[in-house]
Amino acid sequence: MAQPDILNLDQDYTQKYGFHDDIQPVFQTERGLTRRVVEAISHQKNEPKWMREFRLQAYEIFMRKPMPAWGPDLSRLDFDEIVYYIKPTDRQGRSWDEVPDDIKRTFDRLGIPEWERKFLAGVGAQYDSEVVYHNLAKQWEEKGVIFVDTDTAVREYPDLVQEYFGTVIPPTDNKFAALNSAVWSGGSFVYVPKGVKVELPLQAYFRVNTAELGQFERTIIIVDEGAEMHYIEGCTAPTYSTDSFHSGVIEIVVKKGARSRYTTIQNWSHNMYNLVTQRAVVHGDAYHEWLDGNLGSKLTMKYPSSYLIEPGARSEIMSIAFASTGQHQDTGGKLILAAPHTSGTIVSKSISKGQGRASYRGLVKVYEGAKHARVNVECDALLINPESRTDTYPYIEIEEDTAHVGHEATVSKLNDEQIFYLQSRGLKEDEAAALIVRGFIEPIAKELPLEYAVELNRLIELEMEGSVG
Amino acid sequence: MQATSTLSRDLVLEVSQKLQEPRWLLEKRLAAWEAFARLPYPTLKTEEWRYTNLSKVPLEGLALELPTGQKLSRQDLPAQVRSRLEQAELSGVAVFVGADLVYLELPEELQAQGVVLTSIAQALQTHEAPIQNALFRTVGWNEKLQAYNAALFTHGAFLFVPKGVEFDAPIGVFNYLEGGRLSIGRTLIVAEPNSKAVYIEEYVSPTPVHEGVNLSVSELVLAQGAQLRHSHVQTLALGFYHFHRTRALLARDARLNDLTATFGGTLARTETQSELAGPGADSEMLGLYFAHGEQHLDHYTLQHHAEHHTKSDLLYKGAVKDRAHTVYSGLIKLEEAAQKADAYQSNRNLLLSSEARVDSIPQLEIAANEVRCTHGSTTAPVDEMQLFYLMSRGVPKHVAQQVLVKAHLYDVLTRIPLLPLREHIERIIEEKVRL
Repeated sequence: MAQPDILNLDQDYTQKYGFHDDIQPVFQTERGLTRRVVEAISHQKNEPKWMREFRLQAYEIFMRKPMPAWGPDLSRLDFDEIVYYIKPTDRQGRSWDEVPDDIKRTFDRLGIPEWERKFLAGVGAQYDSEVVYHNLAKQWEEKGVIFVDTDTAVREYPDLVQEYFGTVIPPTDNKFAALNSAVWSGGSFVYVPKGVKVELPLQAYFRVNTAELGQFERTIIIVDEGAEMHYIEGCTAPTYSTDSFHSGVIEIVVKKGARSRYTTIQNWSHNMYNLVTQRAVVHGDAYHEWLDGNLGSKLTMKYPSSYLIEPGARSEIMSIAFASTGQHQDTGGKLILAAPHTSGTIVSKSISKGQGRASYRGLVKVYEGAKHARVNVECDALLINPESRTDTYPYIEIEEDTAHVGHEATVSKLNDEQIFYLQSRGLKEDEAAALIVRGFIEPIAKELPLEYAVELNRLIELEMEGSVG
Repeated sequence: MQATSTLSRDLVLEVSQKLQEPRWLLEKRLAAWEAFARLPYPTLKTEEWRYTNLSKVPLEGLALELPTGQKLSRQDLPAQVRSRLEQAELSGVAVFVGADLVYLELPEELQAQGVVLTSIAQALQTHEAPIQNALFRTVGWNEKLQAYNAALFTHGAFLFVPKGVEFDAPIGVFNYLEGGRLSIGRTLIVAEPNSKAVYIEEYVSPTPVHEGVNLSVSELVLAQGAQLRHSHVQTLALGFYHFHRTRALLARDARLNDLTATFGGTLARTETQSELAGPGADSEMLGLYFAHGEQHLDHYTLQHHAEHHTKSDLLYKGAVKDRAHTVYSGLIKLEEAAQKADAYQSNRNLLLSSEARVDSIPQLEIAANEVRCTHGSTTAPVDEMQLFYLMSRGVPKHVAQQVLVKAHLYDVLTRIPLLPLREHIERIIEEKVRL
C-alpha cells in the first residue's frame, strides 16, 4: 500500500488546494445584498430584460422567505457580510493560453488542463463569480453538443435558455434557490442533441479564491431524447479564517430514453457553507444518476433530487459523505415517483471522524397513480471516534398501494477484529483503518472515473491519518 | 355526569380542590397551566406533527369531564368492559367510566404483598411519597398537549409494585369513554427494584358516539431490575380524537415490554417513549395498527439511550385500507454516554388500497461509536406470490387477502405471551379485515 507522504491533512490541503492568489478583480459589488447589487450584476453582464426581471423577482422572494426551520444551524451565516459578485477577469479563454497567467497557474496546480487532455470531452473552469475557461472538444461540437458557461448561453442561445431556466427549480422552491436566482453567475449550460452519446465526461471546476465571497453558479443540462452524457463538477477553495459561501442551482432535464450522470466531488475548504439545490426531471424510460461525494466544507446541505415524471423513468442516487471535526455534512437524496413503473435506489455511505457529524436526510414520495413504483434506500454510517456523530432522517410518503418501498440503515464503528487482522499482517493501525474505510466506500468509489477514484482514495487515506489508536 | 366548558386557571383550582389534592400537586398543576397558556398548539409546520393536522380537532371545544363519585357493581359495568373481564384472565381490575373510578378489584394476596391499585387521587391518601417522587418525572409540561394534561387531568390509575414483588397475571385498567366530552386521564406505574408486573390499559367506548377528545398520559417508572409488561390497547369508536403519550424511565437492568395497539378513533396520535437511563436497561416496543375508512392513525416512538450497555428493540407493523392514512415516525437517540448500546427499529406497512396513504419516518441520531444500531422501513402491498399460492389452493382472492393481512399483523402478537390479550386483538383484526 502506498504510504501517505504527508502527515497532516490541513497542511496537504493548503499545499494542494488551500493556496490563494492575489488577483485584482476587474469588478466587484459592495458587501451585502440589496436590489442595487442585483441590478449591478445584471448590468455588468449586459443581460436581456427578462433575465433582469427574473433576478429582481427572485430577490423579492428571497427577502420574503424564512430560513429553513429544520436541519443544521445556519444562524452564523451572515448575508450582509458576503460579497455576491466578483469578476476576476475581462476575458474568457477557449485555450488555456488565453487565461490570465495568475489564474491559469491556479488551475495548473489543480491539474485541470492535464486532466482535460487525458480524459475529458470538455472543461469549464469558474474562478470566483465568472467562468474563465470553457472548451469543448471539436468532435462533440460538430455533433451539435452545446457546452458553454451559462452567461454565454443567455446571450447565444436565448430561446433554449428561456425555455428551461428556472423550470426545474423555480425561485420559489426554497430560500437558497431564490438567492441563487437573484445573483447567479457562471455555471455550465449543456445541451446534448437527440441520440448523441458524449462518451467522455464533461467537467466543470469551481474555484473560490476570495474570502467572504458567495459563489452562485447556475447549471442547466438538457439531455435530449436517446442522448447520453456524464458531467463532473469539482470544487476547492483556499482556507480562510472567515467563512465563504457557495450556493449553486443545478437543473437537469433528461428526456425520453436518455441517460445522464452528474458527479460531484466537493472538497471545499473547511470554512465554506455549501448549500446547493440539485434536481433532475426524468422523462419516459430515461435514466439519471447522481453521484455525490461530499468531503469538504464546514456545512453542506445538499439533497440531489430526481423527479420521475413519466412511465419507465429510473434514477439512482449514490452518495458518500466524510465529516471530520468542525464539519457537518447534511446530505442525502430525494426520489419523487409520479408515474407508473418508475423506480429508483438511494445508496448513502457516510464516515464521521473526530467530532464530525454526518446526517442522511432523504425523501421518497410515491404519488397516487404511480402504479408499481419501486424504491430501495440503503444508508450505512461508519463512526471512527467516540465523539463522532451520525443521524438518519428518511421521510417516506406513499400514496399508492402497488408501491414497494424499502429503507434500511445501519450504524457501526470500525471493526476491531478487522483492524487486528490487518495489523497481524503487518499493516500499521491507521493504514488498516484507511483500508477498511476504502472498502466501505468501494461500491460507490468504483463508479467514479479512475482518476477521481484515485483522488478520493488518497483523500480518505489522508483523512484517516492518525485517526485511530 | 358533571362537565365544565371554559378552560381557565380557575378550572385548574376547581379540579385540584375537587380531588382534595395536596398543595404541592396544585402548584405543579398551576405551573403546567402557565406553560399551557404560553405554548402554541403544534401545526403541520411543527416537524413532529407534519403529517397530522390538529386544526379540525375540537381540542378546546368540548366540556371537561369531571368526577362525580359514581360507583358500579361488576354486573352494572358497561357491556364492552364486562365481556373483556370475562375473557381477559386478569388478576386485578380497575374500571373508569368517564372521570370516575367506578369499580376496583385486587386479589388479597397482592394486597398483602403491598401492591396498590387505585386512582391517583385515592392513593395520595396512603402513598403520597412515591407519587410525589414519580409523578411528572417522565412526562412534564414542556409541550402543549402534555401541559394540557398535567394542568387538568381529572382521573387515572396508580399501580405500585413493592420491591421484589412479582406477578404474571395481568392487571387490567379500562377507560370507558362515552363521547361528547373532553376526557383527561393520567396513569402512574411505580415499579420498585426487582419487582415484576403485567399491566394492560384499554380505551373503550360504546358505538356510535358524539365527537369526543381523549388526552391521556401514562408514566412508567421502573427502578433497578424492575420488569414491566405494559400494553396500551385503543378500540374507541369513530368520532374520538385520541392523544396519548406513554413514557417509561428505566433504571439499571430494568426491562420494559411495551405493546401499543391502535384500531379506533377518527384520529389517534399515540406516542411511546423509553428512556434507558441505566446500564443493562432493555426496552422492547411493539406496535400494531390497522386503519380503515377515513381513519388517521399516527404513531410516534422514541428510543432514548442515555447510558452504556442499553438495549432497545422496536417493531411496529400496520395495515391501511380504504381512504385511511397511517403515520409512523420514530427516533433512536443515542447519547455520547451510550457506548455498547444495541438499538433496532423496524416499521412494516401493508397498503391495501390505492387511496390509502402511509408515511414512515424512522430516524437515527447517534452520538456514540461503539454501538449496534439498525433500522428499516418497508411499505408494500400484499405479496402477490403468497396471494397466488393461496388462490392456487382454492382460496378465493378476498379471503386470501384477508389471511395475509392477518398474518402480517399477527406476527407482532406472537411476541406477546398473554394469550387472552392476543385472542382479543386477533378478534379485532378479524372484524376489521372484513369491514
